[in-house]
Amino acid sequence: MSGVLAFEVARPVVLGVVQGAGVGLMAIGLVLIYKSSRVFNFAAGEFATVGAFGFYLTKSHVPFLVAALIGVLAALGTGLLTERLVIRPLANRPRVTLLVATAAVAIFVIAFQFLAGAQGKLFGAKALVSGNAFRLVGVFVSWQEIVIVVVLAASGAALAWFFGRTDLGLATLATSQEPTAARLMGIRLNRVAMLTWGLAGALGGVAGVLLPPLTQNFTPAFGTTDLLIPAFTAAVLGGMTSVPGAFVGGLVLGLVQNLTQFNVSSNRLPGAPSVAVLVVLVVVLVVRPTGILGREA
Amino acid sequence: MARTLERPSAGGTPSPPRTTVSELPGRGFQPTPAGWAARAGAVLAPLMVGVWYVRSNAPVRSDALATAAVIAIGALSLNVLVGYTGQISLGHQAFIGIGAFTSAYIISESHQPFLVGVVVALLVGAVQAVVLGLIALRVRGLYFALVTLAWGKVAEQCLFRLKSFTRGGAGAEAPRPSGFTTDKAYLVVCLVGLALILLVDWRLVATKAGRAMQALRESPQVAANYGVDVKGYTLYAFAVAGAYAGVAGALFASRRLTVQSGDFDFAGIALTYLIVTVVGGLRRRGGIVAFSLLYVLGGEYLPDLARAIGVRTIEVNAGYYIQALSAVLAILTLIFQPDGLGTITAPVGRWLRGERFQLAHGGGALGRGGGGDARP
Amino acid sequence: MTPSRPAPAWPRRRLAPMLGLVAALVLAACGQKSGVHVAAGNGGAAGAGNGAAISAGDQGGPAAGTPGAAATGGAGAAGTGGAGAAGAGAGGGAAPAGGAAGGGATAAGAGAGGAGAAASATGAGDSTGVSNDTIAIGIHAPATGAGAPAPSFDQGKDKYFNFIGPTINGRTAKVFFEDDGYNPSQAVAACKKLVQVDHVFMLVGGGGTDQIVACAQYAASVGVPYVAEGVTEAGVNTLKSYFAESMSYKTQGTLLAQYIKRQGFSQVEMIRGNTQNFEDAHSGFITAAKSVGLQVARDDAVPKDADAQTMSSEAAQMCTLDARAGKVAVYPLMSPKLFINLAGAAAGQQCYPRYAGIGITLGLNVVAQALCPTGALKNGASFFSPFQGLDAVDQVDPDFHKAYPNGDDIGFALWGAEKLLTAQLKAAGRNLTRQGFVAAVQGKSFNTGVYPAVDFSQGHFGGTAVHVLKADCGRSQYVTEAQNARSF
Repeated sequence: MSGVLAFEVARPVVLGVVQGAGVGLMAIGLVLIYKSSRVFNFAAGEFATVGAFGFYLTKSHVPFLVAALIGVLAALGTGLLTERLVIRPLANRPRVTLLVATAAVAIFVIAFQFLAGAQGKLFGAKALVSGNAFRLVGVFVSWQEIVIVVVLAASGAALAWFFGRTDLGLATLATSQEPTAARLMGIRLNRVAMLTWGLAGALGGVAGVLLPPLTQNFTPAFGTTDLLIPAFTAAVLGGMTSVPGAFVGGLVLGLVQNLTQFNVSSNRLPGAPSVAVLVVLVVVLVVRPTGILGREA
Repeated sequence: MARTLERPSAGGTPSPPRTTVSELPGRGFQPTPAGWAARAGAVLAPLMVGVWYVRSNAPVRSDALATAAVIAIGALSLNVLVGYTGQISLGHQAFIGIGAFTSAYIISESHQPFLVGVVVALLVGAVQAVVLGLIALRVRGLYFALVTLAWGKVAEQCLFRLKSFTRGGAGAEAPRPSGFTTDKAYLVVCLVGLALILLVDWRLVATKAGRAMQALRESPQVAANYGVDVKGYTLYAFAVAGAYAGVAGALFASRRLTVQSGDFDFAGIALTYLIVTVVGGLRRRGGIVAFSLLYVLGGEYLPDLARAIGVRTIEVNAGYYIQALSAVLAILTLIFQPDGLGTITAPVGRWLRGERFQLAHGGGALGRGGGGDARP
Repeated sequence: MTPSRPAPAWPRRRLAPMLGLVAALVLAACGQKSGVHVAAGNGGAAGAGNGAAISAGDQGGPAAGTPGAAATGGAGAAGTGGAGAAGAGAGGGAAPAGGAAGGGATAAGAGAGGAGAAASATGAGDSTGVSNDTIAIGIHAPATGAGAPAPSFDQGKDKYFNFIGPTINGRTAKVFFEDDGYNPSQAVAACKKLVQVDHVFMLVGGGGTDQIVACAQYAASVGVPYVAEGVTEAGVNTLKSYFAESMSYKTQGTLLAQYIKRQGFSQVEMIRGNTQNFEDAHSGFITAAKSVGLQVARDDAVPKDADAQTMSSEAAQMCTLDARAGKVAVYPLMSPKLFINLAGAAAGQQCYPRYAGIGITLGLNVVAQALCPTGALKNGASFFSPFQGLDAVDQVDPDFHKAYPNGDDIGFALWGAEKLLTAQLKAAGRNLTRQGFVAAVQGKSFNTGVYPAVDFSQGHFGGTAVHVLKADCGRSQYVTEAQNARSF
């Protein structure tokens, strides 16, 4: 019994929750940016990759936590620069324009990752903490997986608190509802935009630092190729506006991807998780575009 | 529907620019015979340079130009969606790849001639695009962009790895048509393909369908009020874009001789073609073709330039530097010059047709508050 | 464009220049074709020009009799377009060869050239890439991509040739290297460049089945000799100018089944990359396993460029209870990247099967270096290989470390391949042509002490034995477990 459950259910559930938390964090970043700038940020995946590169390229030279901080700060910087250099000059342009601009940012960043290693090159990402914590219906759950999910979930919770309870957070939300009114109330829109882009960058960076050890390595542009689509789908599940909805959406996507991955033979149907994600996305958009988990937060 | 999320967009009320012939600045102007001669020279000179360029050296040059032609067709396909209808596709690696693998399959598995491969690729490309178009009718704007993104991923991860269709990692073989196996001869095939696509595209915008699509881009609701068949023309645009991409894919496959799933990645195809389209200039055929050429030639000559000035990293990684540079160009284009290269090519084109040379003309494709808005 | 213009007036005005353009294009096209014909008429001297002029000009002495102009005639790319036309030219060009080979041979050469076929006649031959004192050799290998990303391919590409100097019948081999990115279409592009731009005499493949097959087929289409490790048989065993310097995966599969059986296993799992080119290796191994009494517990395929997640789920499925208990041997036939992800993910679930397989790239030290720290190879990993581990180098060929003090296993692999190739080039004689090379290798055997002896009397797959490498995680590298094994 444990055999079947272990490989078809338990293991994908564990992996799904851990990866889903990372996806959820990125989805929160997408929601924040959409709420403040009404932009679909296609550079979000690269925030994660920048975080990963910042961390893993410095890790052997500086202490662990410093390297992690460098990774997150690099991603945060990428977010801020994107806002200042690309988004602000394009304010009031059609949204398709902004979307193309963020995609251009992504390809710019990707080009520099390829310089560090050609496409397909693996960058090693050793375990953050070694050893298995416990065994659950026949599968091992590692300390690393627990650490990752705790840090990711804590980041998500902190954000929910920030936007639900603090003045700055509420100001940001106000901007997204009524930009003009917000400006009249003395909220500085540029500040708010900087804050959300910086935050989104940092969130992506956290995901980028924490996720690679799960697979022991990462490739250039993995944020865009592997994480961006699930993150957007998660955000759509939350109606593009709900912070908690986006995080929960991330968990759902993590589970959907891993359950299909483990239960559909890649020999018969390669890339089954990507098919599942497309189906979820189309169904949600066609049936209930306000999102399943939608609720303004 | 997505509409429920909508707030009025920055674009405001759509008012299609009603430029009529009588208002055109060049109207009434007739070039002198010398003027016509200059124009003829301006057409012939680049052609002669091109022929000299190809004939004077290696097959590599022909191959580079063939690459440029394929990119141009792919970018023209994106232009139909983004430029004419305002729908954005971030999954064009699916469009191109489906054409490529279909043509390869028809040629090497079904043993049909190359032309049959191209035609079937064109049809299959159109069909898959129409299916996406059906989704686009329900899901508009930015949300539709997400669907294309996910569709591209499905193509990469699933469709292109089905061994019965693509031979898996071995790659699908796409032999060139007999008589055109050398790079020089194959360049001719690609150029004829590009010329035909340009011809079709030109007819497309010059007709009723073109005007209908422009109305759609401005606002589907308003277009519907004016009696434009929103559904029909949306699907029509998708079919056209898919057909172009199918041709691009078929030419792509036979240029490389072997294609496999890794050749159709998001960054390398979808994003690159999008950037070529934007920098070339939306709705600016000449600009798009010109930038495709510049993009490829840049990759071809940057290593030499880098070697001359002694920058080793650029020499060995020229492709990536070109990619980064194009991304920067794309952002600058969006901010400062929404017509892209079309800013230069469009006036040149009008001049060639016998008008006075004049730079400023018409509104920008992605201009401030102008058309091209798609609402989520 | 301004679509709201009155339609009828404008198209006509624009139609003329557009038609003009199309006409110009067509003219340009015809100009191209006629250009080729003219070249062909000139006896191929200016034709596709694959070094035809070069060899004619550079060669003195006996080689002068070799008609350089015959170059692309031998290549005879299916008699189509430019290449075929050049083949026609070769007939005329072959005439001077009569000086060396006599009138009869001249006629034969002319006939072959006229037919555009890849003539193996000794009277005329294609000596592209061969000069008075050098032979241009093109090597493609996965220096980047999912193979074994390593700059050592480029560094080690010509250590052996440099070491032996101008001893290949008075010539030195000059190596041109191209990265194939572990991608068959990039491999074709790389080989095309080596042939068309660098004008190499022949091509050498450095690992990676799909790339080797793609390039071998391209090389055959342009009449360029191609040697590489043995991989699949299908699709390449009929190519005249292709030689596999080691056993094909299919025949090695028989040995592998014996090997696994002898290691005391009764169950085996096979996981392969999903490519058409592994079909014969797959069916061959399954048959062999059954015939030696091994139970095939699992038999699966994964996409060639699967992501880490796919491999992690594959690992979970691979790790059946028996595999966990160490009772199952796993035969991975895939790229190093996939194997690293597979074995690493399995180790994360405390599953350590015994790995045994065939692989030029899986037996490279970069794989051991990536996996040893995770403990994934603790129950052992052995791979058949055409070259020995670094531990045996000083015993089989002390020259290697003299010539290349910091040489790694990739360097030694290239060293071994070049050593074998040198023996074959020497056998082709001073009057080196592509056809002559093929004739000299066909039916002969060569033994250099690094690669197992090769014998081409039975066909194009010359391998007669295998070396076995096993992971030594104390040293994070592969060491030699057995040499020149013909059965287990």
